Amino acid sequence: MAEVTLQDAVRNFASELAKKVNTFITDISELEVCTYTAAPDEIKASFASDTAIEAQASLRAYTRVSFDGDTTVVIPVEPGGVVSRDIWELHQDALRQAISSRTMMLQAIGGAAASALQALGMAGTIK
Amino acid sequence: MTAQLVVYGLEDGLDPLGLWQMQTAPALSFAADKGVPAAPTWQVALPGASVEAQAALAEQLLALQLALADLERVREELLALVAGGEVAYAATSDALSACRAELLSAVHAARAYSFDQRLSVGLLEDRESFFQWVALVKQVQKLVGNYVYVETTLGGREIGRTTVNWLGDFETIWRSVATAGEAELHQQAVRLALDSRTALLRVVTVVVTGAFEIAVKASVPGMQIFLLPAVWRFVRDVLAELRKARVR
Repeated sequence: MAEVTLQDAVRNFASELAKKVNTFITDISELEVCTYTAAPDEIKASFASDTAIEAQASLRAYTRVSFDGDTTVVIPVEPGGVVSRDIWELHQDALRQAISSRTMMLQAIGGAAASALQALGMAGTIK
Repeated sequence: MTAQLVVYGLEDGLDPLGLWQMQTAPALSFAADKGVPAAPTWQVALPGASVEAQAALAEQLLALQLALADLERVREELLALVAGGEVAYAATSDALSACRAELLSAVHAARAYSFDQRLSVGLLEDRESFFQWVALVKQVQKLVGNYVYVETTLGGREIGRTTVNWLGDFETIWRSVATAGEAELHQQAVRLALDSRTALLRVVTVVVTGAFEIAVKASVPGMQIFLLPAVWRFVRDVLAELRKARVR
């Protein structure tokens, strides 16, 4: 029935988001950022495919930030042992973007879940 | 030249903010023989010349900011519709008056019928908005539910591809010979895609909250569920009107 479909759509949405918020709180303890490079032919193959990124590219920099204070960093170096500043800067920019994106997403998901649950709650449709 | 913004991997995709073309399959010819990835992909195709590419992307970032401002305006319109404890709006002759009148008509219909009648009457009146609303909710669930790809090309050359999971972990694969300027373009493309995703979530929030506010003011139990398609139609149409007004 249409009633069930409409209510179910909102209920599923609210329920999914609420689960996400819960998982977020559990899994937010770590943030990972990986930076790879690939030759032009290899990056071409990675576009529009689900092939594992490791199969097509070289890992150049890696950061895992644990919010208990542990941080793991892999710094990119050139063959001579010199730090590859270009790649490192790209990686740092990606890390900043990832932190900002996570904050925005948590706020947005929390707001959306709260509004959907509020609407369903008032309609007395939460079972 | 302008940027071509496509999201593919979604069934019946919608972009009420008017920035992205929603497609089932990839837009670019190089990807045509690879099928469709399991996750939605935000594809930003920029002109080959650096200056043109920067201008095209800046234009889209500005368009997103304007769309977000429009969305806040829509939210205010919805609040104004129920201001003072009454569901009413002063008659005006501006471009939005038809949208307000349609929504008020749905509210009055909701008050006049029983819950079951309201559902059937509402759906008969506007099945398209009903199905669109359900599709939008599913789309946003898919966009925030798992992971997404963001791909940037310049004049058909692949520059970078970032995989973002829903927790915000990033994996980026860069063309090894990308310049700093090209890399910055991909970073901005990622920002555009992720901010657009958040904006779509915000659209859903504005619709649900708007329906809730109207139901509270009108004191009709269960009405917000019934009103969701009508409020969605209002949000969609007012956003389109505000976009049109900027072009004029």
